[in-house]
Amino acid sequence: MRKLSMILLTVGVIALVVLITSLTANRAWADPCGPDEEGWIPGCLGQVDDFRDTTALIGIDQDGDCLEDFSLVLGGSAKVERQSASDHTIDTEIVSMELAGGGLVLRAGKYDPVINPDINQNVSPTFGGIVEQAGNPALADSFFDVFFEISPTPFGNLYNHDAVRVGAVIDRVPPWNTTYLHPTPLCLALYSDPIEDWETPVNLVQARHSTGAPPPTGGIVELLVDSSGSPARAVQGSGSSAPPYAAIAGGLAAAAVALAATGWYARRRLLS
Amino acid sequence: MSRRRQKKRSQRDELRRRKGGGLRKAAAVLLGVALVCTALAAGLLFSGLIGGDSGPRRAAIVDQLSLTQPNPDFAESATNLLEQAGYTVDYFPGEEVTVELYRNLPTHGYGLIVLRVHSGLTREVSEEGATPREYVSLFTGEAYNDTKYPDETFVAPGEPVARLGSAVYYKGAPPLFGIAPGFIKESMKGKFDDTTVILMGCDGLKSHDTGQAFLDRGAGAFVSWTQAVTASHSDAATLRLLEKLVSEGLPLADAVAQTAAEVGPDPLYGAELRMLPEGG
Repeated sequence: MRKLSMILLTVGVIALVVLITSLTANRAWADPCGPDEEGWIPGCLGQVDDFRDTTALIGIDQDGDCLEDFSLVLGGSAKVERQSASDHTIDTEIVSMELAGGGLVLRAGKYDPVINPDINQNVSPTFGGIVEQAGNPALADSFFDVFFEISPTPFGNLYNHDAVRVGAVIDRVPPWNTTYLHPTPLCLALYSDPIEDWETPVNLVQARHSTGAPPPTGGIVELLVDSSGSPARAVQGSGSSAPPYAAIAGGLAAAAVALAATGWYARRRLLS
Repeated sequence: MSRRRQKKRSQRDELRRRKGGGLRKAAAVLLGVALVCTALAAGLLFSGLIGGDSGPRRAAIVDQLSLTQPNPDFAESATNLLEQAGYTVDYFPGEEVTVELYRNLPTHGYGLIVLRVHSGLTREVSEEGATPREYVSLFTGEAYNDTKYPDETFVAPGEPVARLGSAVYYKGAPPLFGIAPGFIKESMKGKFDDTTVILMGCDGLKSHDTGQAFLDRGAGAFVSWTQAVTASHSDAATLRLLEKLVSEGLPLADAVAQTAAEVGPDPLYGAELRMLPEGG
């Protein structure tokens, strides 16, 4: 009898688990994260924000007098990793940024063979932060201390040794359509090596970067087509799409047989 | 009674006792098997693997966009709206939006399916090059690998184009599996039960191919956008549509028309909300 009780208990537990699993819907979503809410920062969970259509304006002084000799408009993408909020702040990092224009490419973010493979490995990482404003918890001050590489130039690739800080006031993350800028005046020396003090006459005298509009909910899907000589290979039909009726029927039949046998045994015992 | 007869009887009793013990064990095992089989069958029935639920008051929110453009407020508000209208709601976050989820979508008996998913205009690729088309394929959250579902990633005999493709948010992004109209028509299991399908991604009704595939699979209606759309506009419009449809009880065609008029086209990309069959 003890064995029978154990078996029944086990079956009961299995059945309960199956029922609970099948009836429980999965609902996992994060807390809200701006806008139009006061004190939204503590609810923000970490993720990587993907800014695909950003624009930057940089001013260059190339003779060492800290006056802008020319400016460049650059466009491209940036990925920003933000941590989950801690207290009323969020730690951020530009994990990759590549902007191009006027024959130059500006890159930022720590070297990574997959995410950011083209930047010099010695360029410092670009960290930032988002800090809730003390007087207005619906807003936050967001900033980045940017280390970058500009290439190619007549002076070789150019790097900054002191970070250029750009900032903006934001009311949500990701901060779409937001312009980060360095307040004037700016005159930041650029070097031809990310570590060595190989000076150049070039200075960065203006820096602003707009995050751009949110991307659409689209994308590109490529399907192989059947044409002669195409890379697609024909296959012999597709997998069966029939539900497992046979397995279920088999299970129920086995249950019926087992119950009948149990009944037969019980009847035999009772009548003997 | 002779000693020999007594011995014979005790041997017989012993044999009967052993036989009885064996039968009892066998009965216990058989009863156990019966209960396990019944529990498994009940579990499969409840999980929707067979039969599906015939009731029309089930809804699903397939939130593949939660991977790139999460909006927890949308998921919560849509769920609340539907639950207040008597629906039970299954929510699938991006990580759970797989090829198999799409494959089994018709088997659950959903009356309403909200596909908050990226949908990308399709390029048909052959050795001669890529030909852009105006129909969309739906994004999964599952990493693309052409050996995982070879029967559907490559072209099946008699079919012009593959059922699964490689989907990227932008050039150079890691590829995911994309669900083509052929997959909806040929690879999904079961039939939709007059289900209303709302595709919140871009370009869903730039062409009718994808919507028609859902209708051919038994859906009653297909609602989507004529062009590219931002997540924020699509979220706001879909919540308004659900209010009109399930809270106010308007017919779908009226709900779509009123929502389209109220929210207007997407301010950035110009997409307008439409439905199939046209005019309801």
